[in-house]
Amino acid sequence: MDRALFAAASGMSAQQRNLETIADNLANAGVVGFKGSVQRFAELTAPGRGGVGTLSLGARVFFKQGKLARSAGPFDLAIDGPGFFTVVDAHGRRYYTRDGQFARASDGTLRDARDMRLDGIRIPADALTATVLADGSVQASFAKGPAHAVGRIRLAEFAAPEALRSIDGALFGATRESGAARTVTPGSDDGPKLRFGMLEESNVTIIDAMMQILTAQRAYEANAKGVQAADEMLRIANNLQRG
Amino acid sequence: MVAARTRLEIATDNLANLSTEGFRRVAARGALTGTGVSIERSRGPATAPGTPSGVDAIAEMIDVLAAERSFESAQKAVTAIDQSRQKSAEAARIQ
Repeated sequence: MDRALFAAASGMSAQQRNLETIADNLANAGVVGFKGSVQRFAELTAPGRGGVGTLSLGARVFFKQGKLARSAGPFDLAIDGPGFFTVVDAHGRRYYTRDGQFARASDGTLRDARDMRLDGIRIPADALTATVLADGSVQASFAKGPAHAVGRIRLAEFAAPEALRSIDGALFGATRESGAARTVTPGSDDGPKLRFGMLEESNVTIIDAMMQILTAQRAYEANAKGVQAADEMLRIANNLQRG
Repeated sequence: MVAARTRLEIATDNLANLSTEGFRRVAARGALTGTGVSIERSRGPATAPGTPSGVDAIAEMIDVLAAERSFESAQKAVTAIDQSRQKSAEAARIQ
């Protein structure tokens, strides 16, 4: 295939993927705990012939902190700082999320919308109310006796969080590249803190995403013009051969 | 025509890498040789990791158009040379 044509076509394909990722980010801009992704590209080179276009390396999640907002959920939690909640599914598999929309289940566990339980915490059945302090300790009040701590929520951190496997943009799985989860106790001066009655919004900004869409669209058009120019040259060259 | 073609290849490669982080733009430089024009490639300065490529889409589009027009001009020159040779051959046949 003609090199100029291939390079321009690979650029169109790259911008198409870029647009898909940005559109997915935009669609999830209102999802609690959602983390946006960016497409990564690398130059495609042929030995001894220089660059011949671009190649998609896949999407990479960016874990920039989302805005914290007050919420009305019964057990809403937000992480102010790095780290993830560890949630466990029905098969005992562990996942990691910053979506803190939990609710108290009949068995005393705190469960999210996916029916996964928050790891390491169980609220006694006779507890009337429960709140979470910044250091993760869960304080419950009872009909009889004073309120006291019934457990402590701990967070998970990773050596390379950007290498976590994204399940749905808000739920992640550990990989060999991300390293094993390291347990962190929130509340220290320079560490993460928990905010009870708050949720972390998506870290996608609609205005930024719209700007990215426009940029990708223009880049796609520029590459399409490259395809047209290469095609025109081929047409001229063909006419030249005909005489 | 080959030089214009190479120039287009370089411009389209730069355009394709508009979103490639750390990409070093390739500049095309024409140089006169004894038999025409040759194009030399030179890489621009490296951009820091995590920053966008150093490609200016407008400049590359101008390069695409310029390469296309150069190619057309060269094609016209080839056609003109071909026609003048054809006429010379016809004149020689008449004589």
